[in-house]
Amino acid sequence: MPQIKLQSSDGEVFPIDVEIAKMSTTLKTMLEDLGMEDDDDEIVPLPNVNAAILRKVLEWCTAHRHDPPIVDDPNILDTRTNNITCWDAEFLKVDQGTLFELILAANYLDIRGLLDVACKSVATLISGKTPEDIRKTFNIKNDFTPEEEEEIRKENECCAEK
Amino acid sequence: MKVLYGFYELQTWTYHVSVPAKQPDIKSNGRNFTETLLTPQVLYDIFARLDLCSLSRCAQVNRRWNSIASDLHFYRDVDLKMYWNKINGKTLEKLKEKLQKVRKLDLAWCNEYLMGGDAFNNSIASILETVKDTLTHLSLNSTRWLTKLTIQRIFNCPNLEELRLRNHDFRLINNFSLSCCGNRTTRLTTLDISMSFIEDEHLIKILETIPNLEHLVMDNCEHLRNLERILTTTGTHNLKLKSWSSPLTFCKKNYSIIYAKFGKLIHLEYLNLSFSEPREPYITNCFESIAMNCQKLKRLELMNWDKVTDEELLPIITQCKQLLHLNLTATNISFVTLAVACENLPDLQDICITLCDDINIEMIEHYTETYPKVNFYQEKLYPPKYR
Repeated sequence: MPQIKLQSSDGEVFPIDVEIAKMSTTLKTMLEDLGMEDDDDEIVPLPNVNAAILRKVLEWCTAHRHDPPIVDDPNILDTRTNNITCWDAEFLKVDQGTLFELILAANYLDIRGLLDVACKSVATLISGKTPEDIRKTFNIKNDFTPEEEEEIRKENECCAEK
Repeated sequence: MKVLYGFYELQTWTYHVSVPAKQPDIKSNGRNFTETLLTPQVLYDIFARLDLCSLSRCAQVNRRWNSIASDLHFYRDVDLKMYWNKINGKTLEKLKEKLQKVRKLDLAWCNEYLMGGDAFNNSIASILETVKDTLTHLSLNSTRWLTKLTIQRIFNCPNLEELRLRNHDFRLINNFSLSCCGNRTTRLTTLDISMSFIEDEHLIKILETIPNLEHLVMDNCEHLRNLERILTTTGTHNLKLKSWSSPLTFCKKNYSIIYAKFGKLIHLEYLNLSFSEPREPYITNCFESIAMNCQKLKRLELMNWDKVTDEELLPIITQCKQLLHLNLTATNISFVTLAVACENLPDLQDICITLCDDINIEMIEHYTETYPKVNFYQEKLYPPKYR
């Protein structure tokens, strides 16, 4: 099976199967456009992804290599958060920092399935929480003035409760 | 190896020690660690997967989250059905700004506890004016009272593809004929007016302005009476119709000869005429024209046609070769017809024979063996004591 080498931002090199690399739309386009598919020695630098995150991303891709491709309209996203598989849930038991970095990497590499599941995982942290609870969860400071806060609360009140 | 990702470890370490005991000193370093990682791109990806409720709450977190959560991109497909008891003229006015780019809008049941109200109608009308070029799907099911202005604005949306006005009352719209004659909704393919108080005149006016209609749903509209006039209209203006559903509608005063007019709708794939059998006696065969012309018919539902005979059905089951589903609930058809259908229709998948008095279980078992491809099924009914 043909392989290529990916290099993380901090210099670590990961040899992987082309088939797995192609789960990333970014890499797929790159390999096809540049005709690098058969070239084993080529190293693809990924300046936005560090080694720890890249290892995690590749772990996900390897586990999901046989998934059917997601073909639906990218503008219509599934907002249900209850369809995360056990494997994914276990995989995503990481600290928030790692989770956000995974989202960033999945976005950069354009791996739709990973992006979906990682974002849904964050969405479950958000859903059902009040704005104050959300701030606590993500350790965010409220920078609104009381007047602004009241105004924005009113603006959003009709949908903020179910 | 460790050296290579030392940077990352430093980051996680900072994160772990900074959170628990004390709040991080936000004043000195501007933003804390979590916020640095929650880049606009990450927030954008997360927000795109939130429901409206969570999104509204995220908008209240801080200025940065607010500016991202207010992006109109998140308000393209908006389902406000869940918030029906909170949506009224006033709240809709506040949402208006966010709905500027909405493509799919569902406002079912949202009308101040169904009490009607000009404020609600005015807000909808003004939203429709803003979004008329982007809107493709609109549902105002069960919002009950629409004004002439609202109807006018609806039929002024050139890209509208689906319009749902279930459970509506069209009586209050004065000068209805003037309201929807813009001929602008040329892309409308689905119209649903089930359970509405709509009269023939009104429906005809609407049908005349939507040449590309494919799906017409008018279940249980008891005030639609003149099937002949409706069919004459569709036969002139809506020749692209693929599905027609009118169970419990047109149940009065229809003669079998009128049903021949369905033959003009040659693209029909789905035809539901349950509970609307023609009045006795059958002057002519209802289905001859349909069988001859509607060759694409895939699904036919004739629930409760208790006077229909095997002979009447024969043209359909011998000529509409693409039929997949046949619902003959509560008809008096015989075994012979079932056999003819199974022999003649190569793609037939199921026949519903609930409450067919002339068919007994032993024969069904026999047929199931003879025609393994076809599923003969009976809907489960309530146990006798509840009937």
